[in-house]
Amino acid sequence: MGKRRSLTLMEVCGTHTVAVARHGLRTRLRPGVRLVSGPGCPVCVTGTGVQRQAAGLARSRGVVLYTYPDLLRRPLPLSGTPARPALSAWQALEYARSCPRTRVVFFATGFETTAATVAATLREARSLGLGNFHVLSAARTILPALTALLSSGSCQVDGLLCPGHVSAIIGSIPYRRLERFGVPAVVAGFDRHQLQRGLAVLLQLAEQGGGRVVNAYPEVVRPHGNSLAQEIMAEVFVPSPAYWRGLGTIEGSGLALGPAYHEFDALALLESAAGEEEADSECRCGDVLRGALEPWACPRFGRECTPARPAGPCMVSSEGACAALYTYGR
Amino acid sequence: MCVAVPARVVKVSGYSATVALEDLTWEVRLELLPTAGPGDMVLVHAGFAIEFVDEQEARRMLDLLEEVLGWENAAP
Repeated sequence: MGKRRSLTLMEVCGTHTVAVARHGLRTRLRPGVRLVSGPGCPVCVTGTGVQRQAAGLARSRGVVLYTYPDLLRRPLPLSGTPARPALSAWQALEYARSCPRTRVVFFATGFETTAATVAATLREARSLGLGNFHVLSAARTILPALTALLSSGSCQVDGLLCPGHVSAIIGSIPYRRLERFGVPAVVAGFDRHQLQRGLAVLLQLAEQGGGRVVNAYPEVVRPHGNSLAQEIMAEVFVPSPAYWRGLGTIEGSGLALGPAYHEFDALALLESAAGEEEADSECRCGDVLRGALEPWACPRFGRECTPARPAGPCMVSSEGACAALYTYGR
Repeated sequence: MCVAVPARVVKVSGYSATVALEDLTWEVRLELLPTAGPGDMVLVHAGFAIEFVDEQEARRMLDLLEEVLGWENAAP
């Protein structure tokens, strides 16, 4: 395999997206090597349908809905509703404890890192018998999405830069399931040195070719991850189908509340099921999230779509590929 | 959204802990990392400590890997 062949590396973590852009690491890759963003930005991949459900709950009488601040930005469905920002599910739980007559809903998005904290919060709610606390879960797991992406062959991926903090929970071993695709996967941290180290290892492995998993973030990530967090998640959640912008519905990629937590499931508060996901008419965020389109190649990028006036989720979220590239340049 | 920050545990009371990063102190939950105690460096995400940050062990592993694979020479 020629050492100078062109290669496409993909990161799948909103925090990596921002850090790579901020440190200008793309410009330091050798010619012929591209680094693209994949489906790693939680707000970007979350479908509009479940956000509309959350907005409906936020507008309901007697309900206070909390969610992560990025989801409240324009033009997302929750903007302009009475939904309140929270940095942690625990904040919503504490509010529910202090206001027993109010139904408190936490709208949970994000990957395993965040899902583990939501699971621990739900377990506490159950042990307290907190009947007024509910979770609307759009939480998801990264491996089914990566598997779907690599199986689809819809874009070239020669190496995956895997998310450090998701891996703190799941460990580095589960990525071995991707070895059959012949694509190396490197778990990397977030500061400049850690990212450079991760990219250097990934590039070396990608040039060699073949599936292999390396943990380049051993400061935090253990091979088996945080097994207690995994147990708590397995107690609270069950795998479910989930819709991903750009990838469609992926079986087993969502985290729904399990039978023991049914009474805390905000789905029971909804009058109707989630509507069909509509394809975005002009927004190309779906293509960006598959790594099939570089943000600057979108005709709206920087013109009709900027962080101040975003047209789509990859520009809305500060962790979106479009917002990061607009803010920090290529 | 998966941003996490390292901080040092100062005080523990049940599943609640006070952590510090430079001049800043705040309260976090220990349900996901109940063995954390005063003096430990932990990684904090969304109000919870999620993992220990093992500075020394990490340095040792990386030194070994760099020696074996020559990673330092493989600048991106």
